[in-house]
Amino acid sequence: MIPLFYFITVSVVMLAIGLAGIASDRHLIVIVLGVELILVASIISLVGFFTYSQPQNTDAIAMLLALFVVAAVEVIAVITFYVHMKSMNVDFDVTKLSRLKW
Amino acid sequence: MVLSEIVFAGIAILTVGSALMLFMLKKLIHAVVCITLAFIGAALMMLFLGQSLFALLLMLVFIGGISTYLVVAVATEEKKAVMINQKLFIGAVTVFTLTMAISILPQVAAPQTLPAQTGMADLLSQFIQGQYLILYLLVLLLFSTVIGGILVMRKFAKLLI
Repeated sequence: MIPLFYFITVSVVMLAIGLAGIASDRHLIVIVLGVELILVASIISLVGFFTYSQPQNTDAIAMLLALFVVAAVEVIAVITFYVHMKSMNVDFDVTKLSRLKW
Repeated sequence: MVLSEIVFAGIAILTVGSALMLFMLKKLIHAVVCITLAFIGAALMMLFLGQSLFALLLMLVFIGGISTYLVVAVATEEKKAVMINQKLFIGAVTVFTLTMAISILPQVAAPQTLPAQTGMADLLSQFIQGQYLILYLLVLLLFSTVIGGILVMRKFAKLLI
């Protein structure tokens, strides 16, 4: 039997890696991958708590489905933006995205 | 240490290691392959928890959808990613992990009782005999087809043009 503690440990480490990657990287796609990592870490911890505490609770299932939708929509939006900006030869260092200003 | 814990440790090392390598590698396409490995590790963890439906959803949405889309988007990217300062990155990982470990982990350290299975035989039978096996294989086949197609196209693009 695998204790819940192990799953939460993996989730915490993945969350920390994702946060550190977002904080220290400057490429748009890598930042999106960091956000995806954070979402997967939250899914692991949510499924862990849901399985060990209240398997009959349907609120957790709804929250998980919402997380899946958020992850998919976020990637589609950002990649579309990326492909569009790439066609305009824009540098993807996010500190230089001055074209987003009015 | 029982066999299931050893296998879990292997999956955890795969997941966390590929998450770390995501930010260490220089090419974007390698980073996308790394995050795909992290998704596969997370799906295997769902199987350990006995939630095969969520494992299937993770495979379908994250690997079949998101990873494939990311591979297609960055496959033509020739430039290397803007590299981070690796010492800064490792330091940030350490600080974030320690902070969250101190604040979160003591609250879940108490022994919990798992209502369902998690012996290795149950896991294997769930994976092999489950009704989702064909879908798992389809997702992996789709992903490997996309990567293989891109590799072939990159190799023979000059000949075709």
